[in-house]
Amino acid sequence: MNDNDILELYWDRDERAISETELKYGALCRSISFGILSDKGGAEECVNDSYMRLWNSIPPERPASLCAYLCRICRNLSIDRYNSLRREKRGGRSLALLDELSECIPTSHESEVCDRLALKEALDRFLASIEPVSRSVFMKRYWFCQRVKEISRDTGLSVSAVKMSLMRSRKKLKKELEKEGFGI
Amino acid sequence: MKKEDIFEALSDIDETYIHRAMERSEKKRHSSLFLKAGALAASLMIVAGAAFLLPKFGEGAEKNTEASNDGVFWTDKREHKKDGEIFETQNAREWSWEWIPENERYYFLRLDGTEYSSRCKAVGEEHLGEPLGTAELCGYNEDELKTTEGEIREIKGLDSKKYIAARLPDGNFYVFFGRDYDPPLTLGEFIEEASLDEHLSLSLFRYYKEGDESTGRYRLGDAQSSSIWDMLADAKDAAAVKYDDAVWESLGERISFTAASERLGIVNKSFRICKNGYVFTNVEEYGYAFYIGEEQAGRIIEYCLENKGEDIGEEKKHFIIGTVTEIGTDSFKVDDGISLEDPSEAIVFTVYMDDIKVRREVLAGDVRVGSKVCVYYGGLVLNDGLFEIKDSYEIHEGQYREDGFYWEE
Repeated sequence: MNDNDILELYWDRDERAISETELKYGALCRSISFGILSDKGGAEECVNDSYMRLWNSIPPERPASLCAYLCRICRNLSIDRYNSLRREKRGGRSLALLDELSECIPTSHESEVCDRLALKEALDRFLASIEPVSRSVFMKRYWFCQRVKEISRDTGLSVSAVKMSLMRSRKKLKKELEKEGFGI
Repeated sequence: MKKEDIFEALSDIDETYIHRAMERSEKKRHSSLFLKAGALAASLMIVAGAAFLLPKFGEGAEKNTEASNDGVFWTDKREHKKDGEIFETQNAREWSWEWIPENERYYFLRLDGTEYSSRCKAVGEEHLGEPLGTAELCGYNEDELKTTEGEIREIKGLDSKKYIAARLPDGNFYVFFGRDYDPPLTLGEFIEEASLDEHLSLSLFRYYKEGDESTGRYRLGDAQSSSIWDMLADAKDAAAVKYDDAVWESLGERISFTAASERLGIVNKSFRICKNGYVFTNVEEYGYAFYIGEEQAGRIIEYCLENKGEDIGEEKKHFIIGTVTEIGTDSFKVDDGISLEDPSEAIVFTVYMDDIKVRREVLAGDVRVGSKVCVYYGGLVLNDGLFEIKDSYEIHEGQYREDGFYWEE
């Protein structure tokens, strides 16, 4: 079933909307959530919560891309859960992705509070400035939380080429953020 | 700014980027669903190498903790936990000069206005052609540029604008490739530029009916490999297409060759021929794709399947997973109890650090006494009561969790 048909089911308040969404995007959402939480049970709950959010928001929303809309909800819910677990010290292992991203923080501005909207815009500009393959690798790693070997398999690049691409992108992002005066 | 700020702000980025990357991930995963009983398992399983899945090594295997007759002990026969799965993450530690292997230290040079990068692969004297003088070989120790002078030679049969060999301080010649990005317009141009039909063997391949699981691994003879190049030559006018898109169109029926060439410094690259008419490869530093048409692709696939012979099985990667109990100057000890069904059968292995990539992780990296590690080695464990591993080549630090072993490389 295509996305428009699924969206119609939501608009018609037809509960098959959920099962069709699960069929089409369930594995992807679980993968994102698991990439953040490293916990199958927690990922399952986040995915189910994402469907509930979707059900409650469409209508009135009519997203241009159902998949991007759903994945964003799922990613945000998973991050919230991750943060909550960390705050309550109830597990939630240190996320390796975050450690990698710490390399992008402009030097000497590690403790500055930053403007999320400005950061979002800087990230958009950064993504627009890099090669499509690098962008795809970067997105797979830091947005979809895929493992390096998965990215390698998906893209046909070697594991070391994926790592190298990520390292270059992180360095470039750091430079871009510095250039844009983050933290100053 | 905190690292969390970047990670969280990524959620807000322009939908186009999500959509584009997501379309592909979704397409990828969707194809897996048809193959695996559990969608989650499908999306989370690493299929890049059988070695990453512990059950392959544990199930049904005969226990062998006693000395075998030939004095060799195979860890493949350890009875590993059946739900073990290794998750790899990565960091990008930049090692200081002393910890960089010799063949990776000087990795770029300039000759007659062309910049070359190293493939870090040695090339035998028999492949070397005429001398091309000397050049300054360059590398970085963090931000400090390091240089040394090195002899340059042609590589026989290859255009020196594309490939040369440079002698590094260890005395060996290594393959360097020209970095000028001048994408070929046709498959014929691509093949001719590096004389791939002469130097790249298309003999080892996997066949995929659909999705990610191959039906097996097969080997063709040299004559059959040549025939495939002939068939590809018939499609020499096939136009280059956007690599990015072709990759994602190529998950259906296909054969995927494991391409290797000493002369080109190529190891373990992919040359894929897809039923839907696409050919794509990463044998060069950039990915290239060509559309040869369904008919020609089908003919090549059919030819490979007709001549494939028996499934030769997957290449084994030998490893142990365990806890580091002691670190010395030349070796360290690993107790493999955590990875076993029956921890009382644990063995303490002595792992020698002859390989710099293992040594640096243990002596200058994050591996400590108590760390959980996965060590890859060539396959030989001498069973003289000490269980010594002398050919380790890769180590990953990780976490042991209830449902498996997670790497935090």
